[in-house]
Amino acid sequence: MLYSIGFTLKSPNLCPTIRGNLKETLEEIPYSEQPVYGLPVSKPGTLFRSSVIDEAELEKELKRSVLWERLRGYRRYGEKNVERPPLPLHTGHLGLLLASGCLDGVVGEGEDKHIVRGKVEKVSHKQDEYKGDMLIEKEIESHRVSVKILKKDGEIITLM
Amino acid sequence: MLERVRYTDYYRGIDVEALTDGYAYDEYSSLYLLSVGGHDGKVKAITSALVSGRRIEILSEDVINVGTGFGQKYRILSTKLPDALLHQIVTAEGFFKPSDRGGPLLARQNRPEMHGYPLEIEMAYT
Repeated sequence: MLYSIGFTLKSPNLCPTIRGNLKETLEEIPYSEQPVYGLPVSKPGTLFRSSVIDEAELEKELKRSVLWERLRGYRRYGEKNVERPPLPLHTGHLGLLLASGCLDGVVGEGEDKHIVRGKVEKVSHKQDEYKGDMLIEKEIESHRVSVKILKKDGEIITLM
Repeated sequence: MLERVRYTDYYRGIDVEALTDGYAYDEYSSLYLLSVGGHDGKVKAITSALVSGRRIEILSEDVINVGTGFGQKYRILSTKLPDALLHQIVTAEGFFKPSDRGGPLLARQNRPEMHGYPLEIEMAYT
């Protein structure tokens, strides 16, 4: 239950209507769960910021930026999800994985860290053959495997 | 340590500056990666100018004038930082997709003082 408490004004200059209302018994305001009168919506607060950037603070924020992590994710773009094989791989499989590009990227740790790039290129060459008086021109296509590694000192080694 | 990066167009009266914490370019001054932070408008102005073929300056110990590589496509990654600042990374598409014809494979560190930054940048060629 809510009551309104106030003082009776005895100013002679008070409006007669108000004075008359004040003398009357005020009605009790009924109880309500919800507010009867809504608060007026205020304007959004003004945000002030300095035009001078704190470089040390910006450097910290840049180091923490999510973009670097996102970029690392993009670096892994194109990596194939190789399922676990039913039997363990042997050394021969390593060559296949390298040649197919499954192991492309940074490999190894510390001084042994290097970059591997394997690819298979289609190459074709023409070959002429005589069958009697007839010249037969053949185009032979084959796939050439290339595996290269780049070492930390910049040396590029061609494995195949 | 951050370095300043600037785009200037005297004809149009444009001179904007932001800060970079990492970049990679080759001997032909073609940019492969640029990380820029600063006020929203300035960062966008620099990255937009770059990807639309304009050249920018990195105010390092020497002024490095860099631009986009010929025929290279670029991607802009963007995120907001606190205090209404913006961080954008401009990267060449080759950074993500190694070319079968022998383009840039990936990148590692470019400068000694850039060591310790989140991404190591170095150009390697197949």
